[in-house]
Amino acid sequence: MKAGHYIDFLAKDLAPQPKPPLALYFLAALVLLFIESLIVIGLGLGMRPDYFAAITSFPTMMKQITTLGLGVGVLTLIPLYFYPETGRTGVLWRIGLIAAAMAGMWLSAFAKVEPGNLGSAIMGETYLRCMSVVVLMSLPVLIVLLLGLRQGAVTRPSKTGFLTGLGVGGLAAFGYAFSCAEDNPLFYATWYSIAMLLPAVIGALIAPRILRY
Amino acid sequence: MERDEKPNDEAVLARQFQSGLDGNQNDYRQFLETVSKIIRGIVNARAGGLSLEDREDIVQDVIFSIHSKRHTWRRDHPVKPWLNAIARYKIIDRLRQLGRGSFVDVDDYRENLPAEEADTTVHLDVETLVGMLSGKAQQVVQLIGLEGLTIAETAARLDMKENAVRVNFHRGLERLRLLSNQAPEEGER
Repeated sequence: MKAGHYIDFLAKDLAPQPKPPLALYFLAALVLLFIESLIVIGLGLGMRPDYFAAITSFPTMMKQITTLGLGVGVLTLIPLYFYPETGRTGVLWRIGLIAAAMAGMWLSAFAKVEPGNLGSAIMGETYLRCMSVVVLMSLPVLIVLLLGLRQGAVTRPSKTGFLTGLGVGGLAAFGYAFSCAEDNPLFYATWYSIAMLLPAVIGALIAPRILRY
Repeated sequence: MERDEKPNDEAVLARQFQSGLDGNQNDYRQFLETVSKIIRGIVNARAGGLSLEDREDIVQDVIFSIHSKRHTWRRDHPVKPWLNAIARYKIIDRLRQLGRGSFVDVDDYRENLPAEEADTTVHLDVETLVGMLSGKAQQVVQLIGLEGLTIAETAARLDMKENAVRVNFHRGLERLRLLSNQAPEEGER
């Protein structure tokens, strides 16, 4: 078809477009995550009984702060990727800050642990549960957000998928931490990091398909 | 025409795009024509080895993406970076499909000026292509595209909701583009 003809046709397709409701997808994602947390904690694993006592200790507090910080820090930048020309968003600084805090917690615990206990301190007892719950909570939320971004014109789909997965993983880990009684940074800085990276990797893999246009 | 009023100027493009989004078909057509010249120049420069059909197909694909993602342009933002981003994404995507990804130098786009209008090959005439559509989409494209009815008139004629007319028209256009690229090259030259 001649380009001129084609353009004539497109020009007749000029219906006003309502702005796609990305905010609604975000709202739905947060509600979904909240419901999942209620299910996991209310019906499943239960909140740890000593939560309010434990949270006053610095390492435990940092477990909540780093996960929430990562989730909020990354997810608040995600709407920018809806627009095709979005370049640098400063997201790496935010991730780097959280990673540095995690690494600092890990190293300070590493300095204190007795050499014979290092292995068991890292492995803890619940790493499989931690990873699987965080990943399972993350996936539906991740998909809701990617479907919202699909209404836009994402030009860096893998990166956007990775970041969305990371942010969602952060919030899911924050929710899971209410039930998780493992407070040693050697454990949580290791396994929470992995648990949050898994949805990120999944996001990077599936986003190019979902966000393609 | 003034020196600072070249058709590919940011201000001119932004004005036409904005007015097009507000419903002015003429401005929108001019906007897309200028953009397709720019895109054609980029594609010719970056993928000159491809056949004319392939190159024109990429140009139309980019134009269609620009059209269907027009709601992601924020009016208080410059239009050229927006165009560049979509064009770059689509061109790289298409060249990668064709196994030519390495031919794209993504940093060059900004510098490109409109190329001379390429000789756009007609695979089949538009009426024939529209005839190859089916169902509601065909009726809608026929009435709006070829007979020049408005959305409202088409809706009344076909006893459809205006929104359904829009959806079918949009779908028909996408299908039309695919058809025109797949169609056997009869009627050419």
